[in-house]
Amino acid sequence: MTELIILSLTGVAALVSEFLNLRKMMLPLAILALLSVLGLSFLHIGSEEAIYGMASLDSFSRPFLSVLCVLGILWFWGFRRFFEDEKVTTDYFALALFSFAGAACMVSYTNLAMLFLGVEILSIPVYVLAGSRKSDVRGNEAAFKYFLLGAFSSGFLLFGIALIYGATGTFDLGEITAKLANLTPENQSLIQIGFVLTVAAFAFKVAAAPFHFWAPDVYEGSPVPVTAYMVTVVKVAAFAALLKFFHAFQGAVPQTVAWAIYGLCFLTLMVANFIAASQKNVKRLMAYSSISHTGFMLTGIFSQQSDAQDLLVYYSLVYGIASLTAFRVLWYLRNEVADIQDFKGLLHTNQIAAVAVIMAMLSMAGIPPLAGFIAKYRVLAAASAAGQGWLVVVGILASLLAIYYYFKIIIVMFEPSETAPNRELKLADKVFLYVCCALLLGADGVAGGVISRTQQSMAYGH
Amino acid sequence: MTIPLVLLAILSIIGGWMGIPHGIAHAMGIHKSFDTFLAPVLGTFEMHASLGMELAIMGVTTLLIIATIYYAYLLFVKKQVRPVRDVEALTGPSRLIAGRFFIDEFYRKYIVQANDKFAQLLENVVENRVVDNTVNAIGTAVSAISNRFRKIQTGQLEHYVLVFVVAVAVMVALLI
Amino acid sequence: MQLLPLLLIPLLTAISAYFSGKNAKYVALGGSLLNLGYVLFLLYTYNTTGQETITFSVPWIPQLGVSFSLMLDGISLMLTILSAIVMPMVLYASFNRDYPDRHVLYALMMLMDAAMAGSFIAADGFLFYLFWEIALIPIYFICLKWGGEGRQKITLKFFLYTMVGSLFMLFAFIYLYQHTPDKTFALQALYEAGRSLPVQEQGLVFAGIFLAFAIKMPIFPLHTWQPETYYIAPTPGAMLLSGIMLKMATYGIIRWLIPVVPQGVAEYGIWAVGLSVVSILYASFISIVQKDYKRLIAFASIAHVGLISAGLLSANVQGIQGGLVEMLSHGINSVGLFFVYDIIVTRTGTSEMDKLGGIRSIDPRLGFMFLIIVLGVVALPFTNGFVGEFLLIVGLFKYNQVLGAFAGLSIILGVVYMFRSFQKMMLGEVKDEALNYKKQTRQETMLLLLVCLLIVGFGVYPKPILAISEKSVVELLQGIAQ
Repeated sequence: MTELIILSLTGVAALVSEFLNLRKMMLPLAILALLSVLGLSFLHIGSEEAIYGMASLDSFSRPFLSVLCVLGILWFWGFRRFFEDEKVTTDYFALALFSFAGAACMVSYTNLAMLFLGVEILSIPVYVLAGSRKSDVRGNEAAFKYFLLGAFSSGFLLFGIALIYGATGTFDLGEITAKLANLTPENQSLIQIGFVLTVAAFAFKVAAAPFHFWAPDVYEGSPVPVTAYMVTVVKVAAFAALLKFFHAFQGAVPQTVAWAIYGLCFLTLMVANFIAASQKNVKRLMAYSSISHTGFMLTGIFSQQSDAQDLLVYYSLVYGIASLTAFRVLWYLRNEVADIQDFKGLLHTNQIAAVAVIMAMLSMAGIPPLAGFIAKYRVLAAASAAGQGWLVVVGILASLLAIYYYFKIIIVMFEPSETAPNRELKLADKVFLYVCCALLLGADGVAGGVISRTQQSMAYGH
Repeated sequence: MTIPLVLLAILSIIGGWMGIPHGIAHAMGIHKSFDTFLAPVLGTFEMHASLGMELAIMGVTTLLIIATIYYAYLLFVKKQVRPVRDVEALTGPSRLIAGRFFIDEFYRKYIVQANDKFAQLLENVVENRVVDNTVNAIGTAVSAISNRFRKIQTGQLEHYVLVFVVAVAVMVALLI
Repeated sequence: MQLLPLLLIPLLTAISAYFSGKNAKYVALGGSLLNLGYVLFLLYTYNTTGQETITFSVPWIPQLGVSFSLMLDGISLMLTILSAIVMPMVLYASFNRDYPDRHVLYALMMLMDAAMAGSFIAADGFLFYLFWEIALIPIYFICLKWGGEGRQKITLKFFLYTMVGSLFMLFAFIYLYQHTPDKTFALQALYEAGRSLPVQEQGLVFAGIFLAFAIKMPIFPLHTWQPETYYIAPTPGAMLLSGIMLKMATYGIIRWLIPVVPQGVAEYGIWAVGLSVVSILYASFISIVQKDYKRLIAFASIAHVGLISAGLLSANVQGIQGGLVEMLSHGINSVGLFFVYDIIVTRTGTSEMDKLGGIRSIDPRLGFMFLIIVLGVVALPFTNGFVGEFLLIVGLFKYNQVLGAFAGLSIILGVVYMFRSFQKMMLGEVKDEALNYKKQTRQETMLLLLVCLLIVGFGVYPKPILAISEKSVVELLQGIAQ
């Protein structure tokens, strides 16, 4: 409860600070708020707290909340200049914090109504943020597309929830699970259709093919910090919610739908990676890369039986950090339209930034000793354990393609540079990149610790 | 040339002891350690001919060596035998012998040149055409697929919605 | 505990090399010599304690069944010795040039050394895979940064090619892992899991793992990355690739393939052996018509490693022992061959053999020592090459006489291409390119001399080398036979 209150109050404080002219105070305050939520989540990792039957902070939501906080802190820290921009009139802090509160609701919901609220609270500020550069046509297009399609998918979500409610007479996830076993055949098919529609809405949110079409356009058009927010916080929250949803319906998924979801995994992995291979715009490339990670995460959580949560926590953390690193450097290079050639010679002009990008790319490509390797490994192992050998082969193929396009960026950085040395990074940004690199390098080594931490928490929960 | 010859002579004296026949070795009480040189790996082979056989082989070899020494003596010291200089002038069996049975020529033509041609063929056809191109074809295929599929991203909202709805419809249809 | 220094010495050397700027090369050489000393000490203790296997194990990621387990038996020791001997030679060989950003170069080289050393002593499938992959990263960057013309595409091809194999190997390991009763990657558990599989599945696992090794060695028709990569790689990079790195694959055959799926190897191994023999002959023929000396060495390496692979997969004492000795010889000879390349190319600016000639008359010392290296490569008796190749062919012959006979041809073909390269570059008239040829430096003479001494030394008295691994090899084969 405290966690949600802290987040919402900080959002309100951001609104107030706007007309009290205290905006300079907001960054430390926001980071402090996220730190305290992170601390609370860690302190209470084993305990369970139900919030009026709508949400619950427990062994499931606390690890995800922690991951979100880590990503949020890094995001606020790395992209703080976004908020310092004088031209900006909208209060981005409030929007970002409210959206973050929505993410917190999404990872902790136990009631489908709460899920819907969370999704909307998360999304609406992001629609606005996507269009925050008012004079930019691409930004407007992105915001518009995101909003329209987002609203469209919300409709499916609502429809799905309504059908589930119609069949079971409740919004409560626990009660729904309990009622799944003995349903009349009519209700059975209602539930199944409801399940499919809800999954489709989720697939839209996490950008799984063929529901992914909005992602490249929106990611490309939005300002870099907002894109970074979308590919990290938004995606992780949506995945956590999806996983909870899967858990609730475990065992009630008919075989054909299971195959359809495996089909989604396959399509996502293939489409994203094949198309990414020929992208020249780095933002688009990163968009497809993000979709490809969606494919891996979806494969992981759908095929992993018992500790899918643990897998997803680890994967999201690692993927989020790598994405933030890459987007941070991208933002430093060029504010908006970014061609791969912008990275040319970066190794000679700004070594720290270049090394950070190399780390991020290697991690996303899943190459040891970087953290992304264990993440991808666990996905492949999960698919193999589920007897989906073909999906493992698809995953391998996807990884190979991914290496190809990630390495394109690395190779360009090694070329001699033609431009003058770039401006220096500020100390705080250097520290940001150091921290990210350390996390990417170290997470592998301490993987045992991270994983056991979440597993312990799960053990407490059960 | 003298020093290498001296070295070779010394080596040949030493070398002979390595394969000294069992009968003699036994009689002289020599332990043949060289035989077991690679024994840790190869295992030991016990395979020797009878004493008579060994003696016969030794006898024949020794006779041949003595004959050779005599011939070398005639050739180099007495200079009674003159080597043939002009092979082309000869005919019949003596030409064959003087030309050392034309083994070198045979080798050159049928082994060395054939070998080179075959190698060149492998290099030009298999290595540079088949193997290399197969690998590169995979790369080309990927970019071709990539470029084709890139176009499904039209930027048109209606298309995106259409795909969305069709995908949901397919998934629902699977339930029926 | 005794095994940790094998990883820590190179790792710490890498870090200190990175921070020592211009002196990086001395730091790296010092570290690698220290490592050599430690390995020799290990060898001594190993021999005096009755060749007891040294192990070390701590849990690492227990949830994934991964432990940090290391193991040193005779087979691992052989490879550890190889990398400990070759590494200082490679480093010393690089002293003749001033590479830009050398602190990075030497740090990367030592990092790679650490990873390779790790792969030779890993006793956990996951850990082996980690080291296997980690070794790839530094060499990729070495080739990308210090490589020659066209390096961007070629290195990427190299990386992707290797990853294809690696990922399928990982899949095979995952599959085995899932068949272990208590879900672990421990070596013995994987052995038991692999052996319990039905023959067809063993065949699939065999195919997955062998793919990785076949690409890394490489074997026809998966070799296309190799000549290009060797060609553009800076000399120390090429030495590391052929001197040590490809031995990760041949070692892998002994440790992570044959004992894991022995029935699979028995049933389907003939295909792999056949492919290896084809690879030997194919690469030998291609070598004959190479015009560039460096490409010739590259193909020659394919031919030799094909023989090693064929011999190892025969899965008998001679084959495996021969393979181990040949790995050692090949490592040393590779350094020699690439170093000769480096000497010639720094003076004449070309490695095209038709443009070279008569170098022996300008530099007789180089001519003589190159001849010894060539003799070692063509496996003349009393050189190191002979012991290995002879045993390999014996092993292969026991396995299959026809394939053995074909593999034997490789020695003849080897003589053809190696002598031809010697003849073209060293003998004959002095060509233009060789005119402004300057005398060998002391560093060059020292290194070549060292190579020659090792070639002759191992060739004349191979017994102690063979003795290192024999017990372990016999035990390994007994384990399979059960």
